[in-house]
Amino acid sequence: MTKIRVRPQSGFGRLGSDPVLAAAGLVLAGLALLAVFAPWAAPYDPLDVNLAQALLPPSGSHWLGTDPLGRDVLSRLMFGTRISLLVGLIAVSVAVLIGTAVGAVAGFAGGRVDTVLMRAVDVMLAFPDIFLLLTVIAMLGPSIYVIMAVIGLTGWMGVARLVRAEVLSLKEREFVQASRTLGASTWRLLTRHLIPNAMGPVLVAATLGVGGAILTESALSFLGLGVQPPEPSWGNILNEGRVALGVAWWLIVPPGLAILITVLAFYIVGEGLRDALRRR
Amino acid sequence: MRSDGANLLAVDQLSVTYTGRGARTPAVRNVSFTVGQGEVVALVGGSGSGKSTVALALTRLLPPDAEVEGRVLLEGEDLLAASEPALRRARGGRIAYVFQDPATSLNPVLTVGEQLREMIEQHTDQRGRAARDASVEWLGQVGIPEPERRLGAYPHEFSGGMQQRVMIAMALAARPALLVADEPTTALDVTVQVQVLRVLRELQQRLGLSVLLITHDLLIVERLAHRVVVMDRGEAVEAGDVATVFAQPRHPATRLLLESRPALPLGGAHG
Amino acid sequence: MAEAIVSAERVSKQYPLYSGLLRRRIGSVEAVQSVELAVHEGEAVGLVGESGSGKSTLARLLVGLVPPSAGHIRWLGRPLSEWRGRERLHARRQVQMVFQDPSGSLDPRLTVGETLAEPFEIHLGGRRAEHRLRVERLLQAVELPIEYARRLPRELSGGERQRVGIARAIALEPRVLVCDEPIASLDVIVGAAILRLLGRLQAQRGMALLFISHDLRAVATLCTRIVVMRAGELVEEASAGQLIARPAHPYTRRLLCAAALDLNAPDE
Repeated sequence: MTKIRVRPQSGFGRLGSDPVLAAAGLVLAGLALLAVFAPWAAPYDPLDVNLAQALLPPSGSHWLGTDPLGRDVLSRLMFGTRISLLVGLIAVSVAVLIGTAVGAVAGFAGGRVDTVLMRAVDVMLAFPDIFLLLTVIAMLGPSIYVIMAVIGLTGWMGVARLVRAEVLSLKEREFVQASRTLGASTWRLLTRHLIPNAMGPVLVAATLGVGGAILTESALSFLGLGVQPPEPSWGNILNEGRVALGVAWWLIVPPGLAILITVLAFYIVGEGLRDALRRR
Repeated sequence: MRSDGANLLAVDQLSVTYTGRGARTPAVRNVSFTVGQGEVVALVGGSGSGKSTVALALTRLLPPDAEVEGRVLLEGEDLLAASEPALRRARGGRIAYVFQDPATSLNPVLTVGEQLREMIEQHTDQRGRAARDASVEWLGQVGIPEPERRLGAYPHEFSGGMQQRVMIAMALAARPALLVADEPTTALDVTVQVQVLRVLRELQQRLGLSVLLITHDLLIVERLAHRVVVMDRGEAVEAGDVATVFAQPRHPATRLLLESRPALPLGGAHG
Repeated sequence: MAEAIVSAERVSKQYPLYSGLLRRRIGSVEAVQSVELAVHEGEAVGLVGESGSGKSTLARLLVGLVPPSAGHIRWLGRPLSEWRGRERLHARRQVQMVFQDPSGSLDPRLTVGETLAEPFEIHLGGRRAEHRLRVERLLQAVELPIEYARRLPRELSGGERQRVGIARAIALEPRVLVCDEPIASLDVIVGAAILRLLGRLQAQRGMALLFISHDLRAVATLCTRIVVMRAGELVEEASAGQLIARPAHPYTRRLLCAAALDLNAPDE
């Protein structure tokens, strides 16, 4: 008799069976730990200038060499993790907060309120992010807080659309009708039923969004418009390494790889979440 | 069980076990029953009894994580041991299915005529003009008015009851040895249900169809079926001719089904 | 005749139809047309109709989920529009609803206990923990083990979920329970058990029941008065015995033939 077996396809069982997803998860976990324990894990003080030791290639004492000011690249990279994750998470949180509020109100209220809000979303989406980013930075000066705020303010629209779509369909579900019949207030319906059930796709979008936010921060820092030295960020390590482009590969490759691997890990985990949610 | 030449379908010790998530979940266990030539056998049971699983298992229409064991003898030949091409020919051809929801079984982008013709050309030797004429013929057989004109209509232009009649036409156009109807009228309005069942009964009697009817509605069983097989939690617990089983149920599951029928307190003429 | 707890007075409901890029209104769907219906204290009324009859819309109108386009819905004699604020919230306790789809009628993210605590949280205030005993009593009333309070809807069978839905609806001890196709999604054995439960609860609590279904057989089991709807209109209303023995309207006769699955009766 023919017997066919198939690997587990549903829910979080997939984490066990998909090595790529598991690896991405481990990477993120490692990064989180690194960000928290950087002060203890880093071999050197990332701000410690030592011109005598400038531009040293990787060696036993400096695993990733030193930068033009003699600072240990590995330590700077580790501290840079804090910046990247912080910016990513806070920027996305701002986007999720604003987007959820707008989307939930639009989806629930419907009618003119919905139309007005969604047209506003469309306008914001049509606006080129780069110009907005650069303009605000030019006006307020480059700083980590400005970046977080601006990335969040340019990213909430996608979340708003997602939440609106979810709320629109959830609104008609019988459990929502049931709560209305019981006399639940609008606030209660939104906060206890609609928004919690809408969070699935938002979580996926947020995870993917963190990856995007990290990329944006790195780009801005690379351009000198983001995190300002001496504070280390993967982007500005790259920027400072430009002067020694042909000679010191250890200033380019490690931060570049760090950005690549981190963003990729977020994307893979985000996709994995999307699949896991789909099969629930 | 001996190979019974007189029976059109003989299911022998059919078992289906799902192997998802590392656990083995038995859905159907050692079910055996027969369907004779020209006979209507009803497969009844509550939800979870496994009756729909049995219907799909006959031609291996279950998902890949389902292990199917046993023998399914159609006109003496074991379908479960057949090659993949032979199995594909059997599906829709020798064993035709009518499911509960016509909306999901009918292709919304093809006209009814095109779908009918496809069935005919795939499973019979009629082609072109002959296939088209046969399509018109079948639409008429299931009681669709102006069949010639309706060939060019799309599924969504038909009501639910009419769609289900089209499904029946498509199933029968393939000239199957066995028709398997899985809750064919459950999704329809009650007045429409009566019409479709009337068509089904009339066709069965006139063409001598062999039918495996899966339903939870015992009233349908009484009106259409000759024999009934009662399933409970994956096993066939009682079988026999309808009148006897309903009058003297032996298994508690059968009794439970009979007791659960909401009775209409009939008190006089109706209809 | 006892006063009606909930009633529909020449109630109509239309839904607008839109079409085109600018979503222009091209017409409307008449879901309910000038319907009169009253449910009195303690009685079991059946509302029978097929798809498109407007029975579900009427249910939602009676319970106050949608406003009528014309006519009045009255609760305890007063038009719904006159019930406001705290009074309206309080009045809601009298009219409750059991929904059709057991898998959609419970919030998938809340445990059974949380779902059942909600009516108390809304009307009595307080947190979930304070209502634990009330929740347990509800579970017992619908014959579910009290351990189920910790379970999620997806861990329950269809019949069990429907019992939770019923428990939620009777939590506030309503005088009228509107049941919109409560057993349509359940198999016949489980459905029969739910029908028996509803009958028992109705007798125990003296609740009025408005039982809406396409299945005349099920309605006849529970109800003493039956109303027939078709295409938004009420076509016949009579006591159950009368309707079944001597149906007046041709549509009612067709429904009876269909319910009895009389395949020999002439078509139309």
